[in-house]
Amino acid sequence: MLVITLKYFGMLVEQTHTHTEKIELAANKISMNDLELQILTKYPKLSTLTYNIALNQKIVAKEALISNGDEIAFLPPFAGG
Amino acid sequence: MKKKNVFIQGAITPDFIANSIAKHQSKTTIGAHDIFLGQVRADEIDGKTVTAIEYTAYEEMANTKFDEIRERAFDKFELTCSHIYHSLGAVKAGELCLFVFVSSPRRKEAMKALEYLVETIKAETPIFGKEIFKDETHQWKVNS
Repeated sequence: MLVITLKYFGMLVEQTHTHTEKIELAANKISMNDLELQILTKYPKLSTLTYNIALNQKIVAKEALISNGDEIAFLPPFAGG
Repeated sequence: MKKKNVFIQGAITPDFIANSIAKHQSKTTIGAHDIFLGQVRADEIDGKTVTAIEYTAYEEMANTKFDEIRERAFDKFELTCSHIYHSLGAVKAGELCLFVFVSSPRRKEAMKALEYLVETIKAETPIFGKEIFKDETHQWKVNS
């Protein structure tokens, strides 16, 4: 079983209505791609928005593997400055 | 390099900037400072005027990223020191939201480093901005 923390920022929060949540997954290993599909099932409107995904504070590709305790953040386009 | 907190709650004040400059007068190897100040613009979008931007960030990642960007700038340019401050929360139109301050023995290094820092900050740090209009509706800012 995997326990992971999900974080959402900016305009994405208007779809998820939460900044952060902990979820449990039955699998021992899951790719970012598979996780994203699960999240999109939960929040279908996210699919209309642009975002990158960070694994433990680093932006990663969809092939990245997620481990127990990881923090995954969904990041909309940056607007600093 | 020690990890710094870049974020300031609300607008960055001209006093804060003046104090930062004053603190560097004891560092006499410095021959040139260059400063970038980002100011919130009262953009007009579809007939509505932006009155403020409300900033949020993935703070842990952003602070790590700011450290990394500063380190890259030190590798690329001859710098004595560099400081970055960014606002969180609401910053009204006309107020300052970003302060980047570089110091070097020589002006050209300071000027090149400043441009590098500002452009990299805009492209790579997870900061998000909600543009608030006069009528209290909003839209999300995206860096171009």
